[in-house]
Amino acid sequence: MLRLVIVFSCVFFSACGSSSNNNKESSGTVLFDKIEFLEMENSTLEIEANLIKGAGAMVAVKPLQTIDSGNSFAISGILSAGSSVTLVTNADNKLMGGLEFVFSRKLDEIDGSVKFGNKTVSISDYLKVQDPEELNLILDVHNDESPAHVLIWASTVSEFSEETAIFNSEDAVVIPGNGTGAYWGIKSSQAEIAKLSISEPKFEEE
Amino acid sequence: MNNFRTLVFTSIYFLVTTSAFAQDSTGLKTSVSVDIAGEFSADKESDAKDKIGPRSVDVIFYAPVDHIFDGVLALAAHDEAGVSMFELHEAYIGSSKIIPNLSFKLGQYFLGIGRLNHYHRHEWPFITAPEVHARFFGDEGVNDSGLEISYLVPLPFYLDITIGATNGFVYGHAHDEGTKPITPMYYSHIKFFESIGELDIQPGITLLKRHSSLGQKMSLYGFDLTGKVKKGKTLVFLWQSELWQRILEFEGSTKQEISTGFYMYPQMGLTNGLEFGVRVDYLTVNTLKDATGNSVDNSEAALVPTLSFRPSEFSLLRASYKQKRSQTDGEDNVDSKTFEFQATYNLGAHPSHAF
Repeated sequence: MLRLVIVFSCVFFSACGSSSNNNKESSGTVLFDKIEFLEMENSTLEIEANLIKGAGAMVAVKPLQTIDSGNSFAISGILSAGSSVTLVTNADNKLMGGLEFVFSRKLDEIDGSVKFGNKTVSISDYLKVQDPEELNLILDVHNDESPAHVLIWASTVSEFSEETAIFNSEDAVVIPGNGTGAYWGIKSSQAEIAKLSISEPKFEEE
Repeated sequence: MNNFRTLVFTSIYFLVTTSAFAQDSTGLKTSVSVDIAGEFSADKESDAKDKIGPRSVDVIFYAPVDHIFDGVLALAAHDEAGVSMFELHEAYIGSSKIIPNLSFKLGQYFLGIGRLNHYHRHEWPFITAPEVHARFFGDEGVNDSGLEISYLVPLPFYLDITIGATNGFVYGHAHDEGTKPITPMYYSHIKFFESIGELDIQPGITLLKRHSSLGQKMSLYGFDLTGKVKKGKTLVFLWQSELWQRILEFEGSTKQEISTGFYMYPQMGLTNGLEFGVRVDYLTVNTLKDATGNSVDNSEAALVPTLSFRPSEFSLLRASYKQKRSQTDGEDNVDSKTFEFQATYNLGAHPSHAF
């Protein structure tokens, strides 16, 4: 009987204590889309191997090559009404001091903005070609230029150039600064994220 | 932009066609240097563009302005998204005749720091920038507008002290005017010179500081060493190396990013204008940590054997093979192999360089 109580208690408490992150590593990190992330405090993200739901934030464990590096990020997912997702790049490991690309669903449009510190610029006008529910973007963040040079493409393009970009900060709005760290991650509020990846910049100026 | 291009071409045409006429009476000299370069991937990891073509065309005018001042105007055409665009590289007035042992430049120029940054790219002893130079100074170099003063200290040995201050609105290659920095960019370069038998060596040390309008503080510390053995006009041996450390800081953050890198390039002069050298590159971010706070060993290293054929000071053919390894803790090494080719030629005169 005692053995039964112990076993039952173990099962009960382990079930209560576990997060919904089935792919949690022994180091406390989680794998998503083959990338190792660390969840921020108070995050209640539900992270599966190929889907993120819920609310919270997570930072990629592997740092960027250097603070003033250029990188390309791909993000895909579903933005249901009232949900939002923020891609944070070139931040510290608490996702502070970085460039924040905020995408939120407002009625039949995607509301987009870029934030740095207390400065915000809107990029909503450039996102109108996107299906408001499905977010499928590739973002080049050249933090090695000052201010950072950002290009955004729909993920369906095959050729990455300034001409095929739906947003090019050199022609549109000036990005309000440069990220000050070597980490990246996301903050999500009820968005469903199906893909997150990082690679070399898609566009390199001659 | 088209108007600007037309204006530049018209100006160049006017100056080139009139320079022969002007040369005798005013001393105006014109130099045109064409740098044709290409790179081809030797494996799938290489990010070579697999094409060859004019990389830059430098048009330089230089002359004494009067009995005191000299003037330099250097325009360079680069490929910008498939279109050759001329831009101002250097435009400065200078003199070494006002105060004994002192010379200065006022205007826009390549900063007199380190070794490579003094020279236009077509004058480098290799085709592409070493890793450390590309990371800290861009693929070509850092130019800016300001004042640079050099003073040859009257001592029994050679000691040249260069100090400069420039606008610092932008750093490196830029297509806009930038924004006013919190302090102007300032720098110093101290050079020595010594002959040891047939070997002439020139060590130098550099300090550069920049505090951008966006709150980024950059400090660069460098050591450069150049050695040459010449027989007549033939360069029998060349040693060129630079060691750099860069510290990046941001306002409101106590964290620093420290990166260190070097390159060294020994080159032997062979017979009949052939030269062979091997460049070694290394670069690391010393302070790189992962998000959990663990240090991450990392490096970019490259080996670049280079063969040059230089029949005269006006023409050059060059080929090199770049084997690069990127290493980061916990990941597979990434090796890439690239073939590089270069042909340069100079039309007209070319300004001489000290050592």
